[in-house]
Amino acid sequence: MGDVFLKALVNGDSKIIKSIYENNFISVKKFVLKNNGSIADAEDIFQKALLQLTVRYKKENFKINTNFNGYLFTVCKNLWRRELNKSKNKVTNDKVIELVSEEQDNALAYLELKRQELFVEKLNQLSDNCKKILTLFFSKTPYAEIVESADYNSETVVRQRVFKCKKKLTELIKSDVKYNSLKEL
Amino acid sequence: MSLQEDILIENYLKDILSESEKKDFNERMQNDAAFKEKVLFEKKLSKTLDQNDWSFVESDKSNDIKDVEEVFKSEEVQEIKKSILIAQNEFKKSQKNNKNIIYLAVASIALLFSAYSLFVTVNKPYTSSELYAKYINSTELYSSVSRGSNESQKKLIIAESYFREEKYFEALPIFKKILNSEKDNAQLYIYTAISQIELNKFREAEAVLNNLIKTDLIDAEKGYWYKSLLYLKMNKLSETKSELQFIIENDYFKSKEAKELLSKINN
Repeated sequence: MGDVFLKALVNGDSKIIKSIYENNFISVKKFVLKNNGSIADAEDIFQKALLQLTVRYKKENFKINTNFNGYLFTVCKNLWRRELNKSKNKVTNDKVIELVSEEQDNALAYLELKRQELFVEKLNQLSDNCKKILTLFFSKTPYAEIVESADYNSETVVRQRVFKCKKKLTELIKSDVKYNSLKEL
Repeated sequence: MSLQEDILIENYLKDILSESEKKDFNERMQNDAAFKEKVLFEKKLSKTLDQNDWSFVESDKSNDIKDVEEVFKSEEVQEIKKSILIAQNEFKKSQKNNKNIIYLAVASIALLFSAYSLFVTVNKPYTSSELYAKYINSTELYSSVSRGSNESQKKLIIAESYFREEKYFEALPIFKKILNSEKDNAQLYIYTAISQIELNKFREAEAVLNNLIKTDLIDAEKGYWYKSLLYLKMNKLSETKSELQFIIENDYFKSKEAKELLSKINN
């Protein structure tokens, strides 16, 4: 089914694209509104996400292994996460951010999304235990809390565990051919 | 990598190293390419997998960026973008119609069940988009074309005519391109920003207006007025109000209208 939508995008079939809106826009809108955005932001993100999928399909002829709606929602979520962090960077950075063209920004987002997908894919290939401890670690949970949450004996044990899991994750990422084109970024 | 080194990098990324440790760390980064690679990888990893953060591309050396950018720029993808926009507008229209039907239904029920609601005068407030349309249309726009007949001036004439016909999709790329080389043309910033607002490219419009405000052009202050209208269109009322307040306090361009608009929003 995903293919039908991807083909409609590449062919510019407004009727089917409208049905993509009908099936998905409300959940994206809800997500963006809940996370400090406006309806206009949601529209903008949705548009950009569809364009990302289009270019990805054209360039790489990729297939969506899960369902189309779920995948589109993830892309929207990540693009919104990216936008939010963009403005966060602007606030903390005194430097004036040079205007990048829309196409350039889309290209950067394209590669960043690909990197994000690869990293998450590899994280999901780890053991449940590693996945859990790294998820806590990357979300900046203090070591003391990780100790409690998983019945580890001490912070030292947690640190060693995080170290080993991260090492495994790094190996998985670096040994994937998809990483070759992303490592320079 | 040893556990010790891993902890050191972690502390660096958390920005909790002492000044002298930081100095040593940075020196090592400069002299030890393998170490630097490790640090950068760790940074990407932690930013990517932290749900509240994002890992931005930091190097523009990769040829891939250019390649992908070319695809986004291609005529074919630009056409697809138009189709997406059409679909979005159609979708919004159908949503509006649905709302109208619901509104009608609710209104009839209200009439049936609440006779005296008829006697209550309801002062219908303006919506943000209505206010935006009212004020953007009543703000006079001067031409951005200056004297001379070089290529870019000719293109500007074409872009402005697209703009007047509300063909913003066609007008915007021309404005943007010329703005890159004519950074002292305040009107050009404004045309670019309005076209972006009309195409829902709000973040880009905001960046263009911020750039106008940062210039030392005499019309830089106009940026605040258009920024307030941008926020209004986005329905970000508190941002709209603070821009308007700023215009009024400094007696900038359109301060009288700013007062009027502010009171309408507050009502």
